Amino acid sequence: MAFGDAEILVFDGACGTNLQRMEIPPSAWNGREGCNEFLNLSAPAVIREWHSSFLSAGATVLETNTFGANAIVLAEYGLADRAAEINRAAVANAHEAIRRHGGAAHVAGAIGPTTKLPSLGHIAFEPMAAAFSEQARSLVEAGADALIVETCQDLLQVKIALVSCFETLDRMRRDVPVMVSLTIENTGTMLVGTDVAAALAAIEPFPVFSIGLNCATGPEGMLSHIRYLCRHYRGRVSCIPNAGIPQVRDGKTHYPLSPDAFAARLSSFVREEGVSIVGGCCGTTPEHIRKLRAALEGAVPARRTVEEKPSLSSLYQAAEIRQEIPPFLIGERCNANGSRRFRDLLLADDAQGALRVALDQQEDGAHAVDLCTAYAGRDEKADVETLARLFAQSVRIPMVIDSTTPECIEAALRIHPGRCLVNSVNLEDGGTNLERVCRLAKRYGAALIALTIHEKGMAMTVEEKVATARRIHDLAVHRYGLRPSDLLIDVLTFTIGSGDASLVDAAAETLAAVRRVKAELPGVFTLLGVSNVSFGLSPASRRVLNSVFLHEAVAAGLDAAIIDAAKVLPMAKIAEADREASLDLIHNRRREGADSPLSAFIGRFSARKTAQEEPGAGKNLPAVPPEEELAEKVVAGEKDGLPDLLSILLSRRPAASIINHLLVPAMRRVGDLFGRGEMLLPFVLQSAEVMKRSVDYLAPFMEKSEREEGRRILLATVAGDVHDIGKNLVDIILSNNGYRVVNLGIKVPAETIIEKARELGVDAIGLSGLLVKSALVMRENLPQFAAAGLRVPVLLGGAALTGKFVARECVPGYPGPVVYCADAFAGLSAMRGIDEGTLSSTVFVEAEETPAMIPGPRGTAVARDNPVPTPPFLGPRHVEGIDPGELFPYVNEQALFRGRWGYRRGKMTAAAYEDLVREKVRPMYEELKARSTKENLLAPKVAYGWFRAFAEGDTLAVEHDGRTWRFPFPRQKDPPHLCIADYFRTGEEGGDVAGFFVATVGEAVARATKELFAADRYHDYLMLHAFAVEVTDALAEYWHETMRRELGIEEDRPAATPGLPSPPASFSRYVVQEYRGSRYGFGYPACPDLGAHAAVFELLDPGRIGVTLTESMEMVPEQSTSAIVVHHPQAKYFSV
Amino acid sequence: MNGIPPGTAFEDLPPGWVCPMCYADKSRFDELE
Repeated sequence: MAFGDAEILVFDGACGTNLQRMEIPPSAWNGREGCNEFLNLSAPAVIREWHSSFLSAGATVLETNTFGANAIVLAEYGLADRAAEINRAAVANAHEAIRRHGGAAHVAGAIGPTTKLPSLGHIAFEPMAAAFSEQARSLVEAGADALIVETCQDLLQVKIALVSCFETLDRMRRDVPVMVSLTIENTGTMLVGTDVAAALAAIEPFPVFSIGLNCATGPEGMLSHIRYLCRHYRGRVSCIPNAGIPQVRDGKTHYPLSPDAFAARLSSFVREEGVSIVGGCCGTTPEHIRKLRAALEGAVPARRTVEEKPSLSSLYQAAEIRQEIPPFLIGERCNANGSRRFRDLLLADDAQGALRVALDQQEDGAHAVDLCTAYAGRDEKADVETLARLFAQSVRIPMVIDSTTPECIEAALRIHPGRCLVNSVNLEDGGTNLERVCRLAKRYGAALIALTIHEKGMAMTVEEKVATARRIHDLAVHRYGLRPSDLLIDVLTFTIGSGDASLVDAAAETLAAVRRVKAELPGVFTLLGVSNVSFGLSPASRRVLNSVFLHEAVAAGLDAAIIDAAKVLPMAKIAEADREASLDLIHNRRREGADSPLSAFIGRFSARKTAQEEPGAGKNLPAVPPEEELAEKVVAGEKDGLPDLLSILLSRRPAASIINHLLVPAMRRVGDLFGRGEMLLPFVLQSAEVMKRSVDYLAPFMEKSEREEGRRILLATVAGDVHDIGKNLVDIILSNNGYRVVNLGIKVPAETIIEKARELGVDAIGLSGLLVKSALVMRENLPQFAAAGLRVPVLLGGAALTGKFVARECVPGYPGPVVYCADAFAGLSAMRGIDEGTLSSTVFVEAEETPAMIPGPRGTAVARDNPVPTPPFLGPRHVEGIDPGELFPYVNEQALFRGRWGYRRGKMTAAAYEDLVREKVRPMYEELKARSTKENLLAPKVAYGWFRAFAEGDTLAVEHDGRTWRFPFPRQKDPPHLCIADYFRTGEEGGDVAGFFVATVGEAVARATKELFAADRYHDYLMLHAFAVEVTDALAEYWHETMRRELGIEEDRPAATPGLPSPPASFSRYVVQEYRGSRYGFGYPACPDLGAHAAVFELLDPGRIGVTLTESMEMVPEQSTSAIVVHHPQAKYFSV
Repeated sequence: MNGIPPGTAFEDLPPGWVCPMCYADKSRFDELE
């Protein structure tokens, strides 16, 4: 039976984790401990025994022990020159095990990712390709039935491996199935940041046998990615997970998923999703595979309905060519021949400036960005290599390689990890160049733009255009093996604005040709360079004509357009008469008794000269000076028309002056308004967005030295803390006030801060952190900074900090100024203090001190005779698929609107505030609810359980599965000296019952939030982040109620209507805990120690709902919460 | 509670006042109606 004939292929289990358990004599390692691949030569019997254990378990495919058997990894053990020998031995070992077993299993040659990430520049294409080619050749020569490129972490590495494998097989004239298996981390992307759609777009053009996932997580964490593949990829889908997410127990790595659970989950992927290749990665034993095989008895992979989505991709994300609202927009401004700004940047070797042009287009809504570096006197190949590398890492939309030179096209295809579009080929030379470029597109999986140009010139008529398109299509598809959907046919656009009599029908011919190509060449896409249509006309009229022509072309079936996305006007913004004049010109319709359509069109626009009169650029108000208009835009958070306004200002003063004398003072006004309570935080963020866009627009017009003015501050969330919203708000405010911010991210150890501060010579350091523990970390960091010789001011901010703590505990540990900043604007004024030389450490004035306030109920002793309810079950359970709609009634809207979003009433009248909520805040909340539902951003899941428990002094002992976990709880230092353990009966009193839960809304929303920050959408970033936090709290409230119901203690439920389930009648009664008992979140005031999570996670195994712990015991994803549930009626919130 | 006489106006609470339930300080409060 051939490899691909079996309906379900069952791969074997782990290599490394199983070899670790076998007895391997030290002599076998020969000083190369860790190089498992060497054992193929030195201990073949051990390898055969390992293979044999999986054959006995029922595996139908063995993977060779060759994960690291390539010259790159083997070089680390001095074995680079023995790669081929090791691979051949590995295949022989697998074959020998199968022969002795008398079975008919197949052998798949495993090709690991090496230890280098080419996307990040660790290694170039050529050396990596050489290593993969050698490995593939030796595996196939030795008789491997298939190749599996597995544990792929970097999209460029996948591409290099596939190009190498298929080239090697071609050369050997062999047809061996090649499988690709990606590793998608807990974060939802591959290590380098690629999501599954981007990976699929880049891989599916290759003739692979299957695409799937292995490693990183258990099956649970793979579900959404596997689903995506099953729904959008026609080939076979593989799933080879770990036995759960590894945990460290007693210093040893432990894989939590049992063989039964592993098999059940994976077989459901086959039966329900249509996966047809399964197996095990790290931590899976022969028992896992035996159970898997048993669970698959009689199974048939589910029938799949596959909807392919031809797409391009960047390193990060995919962009479908068929847009829901066409067309697919390709930004045209990174073209040395088409844009003066870009050309000047290229000539000045300003790669960062060139990147900015690409990022601007991304911001303006382009779906891909065209890059053309061909310019007389420059080295096109060197330029395209520099910029392709930079764009690949920094641009989130895919790249279009615009070159007529095959060497340059190939150079770019070898650097960019995603699926690129090549611009372009034609038949001008009869097909020589077309053949070369088609072969490149096939080899690297790229898509291709084809222009209807033939030996005699450009196709002008419909017939000519369609005939040329057909010739190109037939060559590309039938001779060079491309698919119709790999082609974007450009039937050419000519100007109808020149008055050339031979071109009056050119636009109409183009539109008709688009229609016919779509009808006659099914599957191909169409594309036009739209702005050619108006060449020679005035800027204001070009914009209108281009937009109308684009609209007409889309109606004719156009899929994609090369155009400046920022200049596309929606039809609704174009005056009816302008539109009619444009349509007359496009379709060459002469009105009776009137001038030619061109004269009529030009006549309409002749009076409009300035940019401000262009539709959409300005308001119909008496003109204000542009300086004032810019300030108004910043304060109003108004982004429309910024480029036009800035270009006018640039003609009056230098860019640096616009920033320093107009923008910065306007932002200062925003800060003042915020400080006086007259402007709310969300509006401040909108202003910052205007500032950011303006600065980005102006940056290329400034000297390098000017851009590097402004003090530099380093920002970090301290070690052990994952919260970054506060720090990011500071980043936004400071960087938009002229300071240069180096944002080091979260969980940053003191050593890294010191190193970076020295390296960059920063002027200040800002530390942030939400946790109580983070305040202590800051206190500890400061003496380290001092010892390292740092003296620059340190600004501290975070929820748990107070001025008193900073003054008393932090200031003494550091010789430079240490300043407490209550919010981002306090940080800004501290930076101004540095500018003015007036900054000094925070002091705490004794007289201000008032007696410490200890929250919590006062009074009587805790009753010891409270009856213990009976839980419905004991032990952990996992619940998924909770409808987010159920949770929304439990959202604390006041906390969201006023606390997190910052829509506070402040000095507003009650009526004005009510209006604000009704017209602005609530609609935004409703929209977020709708968006999160539509885009499946919320996936509420809960791990919870009931356990026997009893108090021992201040400790609660919790029993499960014959083991006891102890939770030491802190006691208040002052009366009434509360402690959580007090609410539980002791063993002598008969014991008690405790509930625990870990709840999460999943990571999709965290991902969406991150994307907004990365896109500088500050306002939306804050809104979505806060929304997710409050929905997570709502899930906790909702689940707490569910647990009270399970315990039968919901009798005093706060709902106004007894006996009715959700929604709660009045949420405010939940806020004040008008229900029985309490829940106490770990890390919160009654039990601040996150260390308790270790035990909670052992009891509940929340890995099964995708929640894991960091080394500092914080939960990941961020939108997760945990609690102990206490039923004692006197239990209420308090603080130690 | 905490030595604050009943009936004290919000504005008259001392600067170090915190909510007896949840530890929130004065700046976290916002007038409802």
